[in-house]
Amino acid sequence: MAEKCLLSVEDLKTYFYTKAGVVKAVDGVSFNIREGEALGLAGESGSGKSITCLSILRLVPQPAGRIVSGKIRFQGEDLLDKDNVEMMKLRGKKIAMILQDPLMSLNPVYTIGNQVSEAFKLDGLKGGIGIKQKVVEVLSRVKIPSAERRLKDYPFQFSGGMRQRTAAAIAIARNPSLLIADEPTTSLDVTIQDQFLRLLKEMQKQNHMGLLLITHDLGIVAESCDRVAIMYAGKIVEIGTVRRVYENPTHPYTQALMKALPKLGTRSKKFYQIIGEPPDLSDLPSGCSFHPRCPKQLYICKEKYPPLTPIEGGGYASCWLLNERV
Amino acid sequence: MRRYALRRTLLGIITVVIVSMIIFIATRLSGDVAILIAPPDASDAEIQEIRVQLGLNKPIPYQYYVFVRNALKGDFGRSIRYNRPAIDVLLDRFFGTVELVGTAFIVSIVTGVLLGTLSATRRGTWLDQSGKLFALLGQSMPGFWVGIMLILVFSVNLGLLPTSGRDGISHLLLPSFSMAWYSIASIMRVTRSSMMDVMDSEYIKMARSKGNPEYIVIWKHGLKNALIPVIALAGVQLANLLGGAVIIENVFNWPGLGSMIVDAIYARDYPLVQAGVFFISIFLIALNLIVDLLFGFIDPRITYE
Repeated sequence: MAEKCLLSVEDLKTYFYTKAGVVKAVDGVSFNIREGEALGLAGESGSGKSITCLSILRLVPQPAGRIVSGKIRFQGEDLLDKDNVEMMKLRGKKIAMILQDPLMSLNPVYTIGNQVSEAFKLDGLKGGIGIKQKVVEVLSRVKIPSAERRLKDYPFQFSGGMRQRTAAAIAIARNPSLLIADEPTTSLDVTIQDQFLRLLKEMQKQNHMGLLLITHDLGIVAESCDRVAIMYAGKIVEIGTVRRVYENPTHPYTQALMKALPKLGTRSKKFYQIIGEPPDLSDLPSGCSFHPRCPKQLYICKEKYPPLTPIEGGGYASCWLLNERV
Repeated sequence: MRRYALRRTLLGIITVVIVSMIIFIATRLSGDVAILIAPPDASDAEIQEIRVQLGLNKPIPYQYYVFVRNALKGDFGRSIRYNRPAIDVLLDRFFGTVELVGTAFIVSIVTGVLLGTLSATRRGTWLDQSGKLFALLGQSMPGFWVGIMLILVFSVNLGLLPTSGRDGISHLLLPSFSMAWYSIASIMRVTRSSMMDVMDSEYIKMARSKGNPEYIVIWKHGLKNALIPVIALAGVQLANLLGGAVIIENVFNWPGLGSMIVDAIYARDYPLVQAGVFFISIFLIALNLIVDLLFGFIDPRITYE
């Protein structure tokens, strides 16, 4: 642990109070990210990854969503103790975010130049040549070709990849210490995906940023992260270094995910499939949420949720199989 | 863009021509003007003389041709009732209507957009609830009745504001509000729902995650996107207001085009009716064109092909 802890999330619970009942989107999530470290947060759709991100920025959709309990320590301060103005000053400056859909995350009725310069204006810079130079500079950093001539373009005149890079430019404009990227490559072509991930890594190295990368693509995690946390039904079921988790997955869910990854060089005609559906978050199964789909379930799995247990080789997993007394 | 504007202008001219034909024929279907103008004891010969004087003995297509030829020179004939050029009578009244409708229109847009946005961003609060009630009332009550009730309360009972006439802001308040209430309500509703859609979108999340204060998120990033359907509605509302002016001007005895046209119709003062309706239709067509061109300024994705 050479690096200082940048972000530590402890037992975070974010629930949505809907007419149909309480949806436990994030239900007791804990993890931490050190300075300059990249943590991958992986899981199926609806496992609570995005809500975890939005909770960190305190941007959970109101009024249905609420952070019920937990702590989010960022550079030593609990973000949940901060008022709205303090949070606002933190967003973009210390913690920045890249959203999922590059086609939708830029405002369609303002020029690229306008939207990128907004970030600098928030830093108190007045308009003019100084800002324009900075905008061009940051756009060139994300490899927008001939950026200077494209400042007056609107988002619809940019390709999907360029739009996502512009969103990345806005995110890194103020040199944040933590970058949250919520499935940043999902809607991009595979070739563009790869380019974008490289860019993300490059920016992370240059600025020594912490990175929280949300994805459902385990290949992307392997490529760009140091550690990985696997989420299932609002909880982290396994966390550890990428190498350890990939080579030696412990939780049955992680094992199933690894099995489901298509591998090069094998000739199997069928993909491995996890039986069943992810559970309804407003009506979770008793005990371990994964037990109805688990090939190795025990009696106790229906009764009690397994605690996070340290694993040989680093990291944690929450599964009764790791508990010697069972 | 220029080509589009040109094409729309041409289409507008065609519309004006069709409108003028309809007005022309309709005014002539409504009865014999000569009998009305003539004194009650006039002989048939005298009535016939008046017809010849006014050109009414000629076939209708020829009369139309004369009308168009003169109209192009700015001559809409003489008002029978006032015995002055129709265009002069009309221009006297035109600015009265512009003042009334213009005020009502600006009030509708500013209030409607403001209340709609506040309502959408403070969903479920007392402000939202009272906004909804205000909109419901505005959309359920006819403007002329609102006008009469306002006169009853503010002029008769409280004695605060004048009941009729056109003389400064105090005279303008009641008629413009009784006209605007309905428009405020519809603009408010459309703004509210459009704004609610917009506030759920990704770029709003993005605007927030950049660290923008909420007022920039709402009024800069949200509103400009939410305005597109509002502008479309504003065009329709302006037409409604112009139509409604006919009634409200009568309720408040406001010297405008609306009351002028109604009086002219009763008096069978057909040159004045023609001129008035003609003017209003040109006005409306021009406004529609402006509204359509405005879209392009608000949303750069809209191109005019």
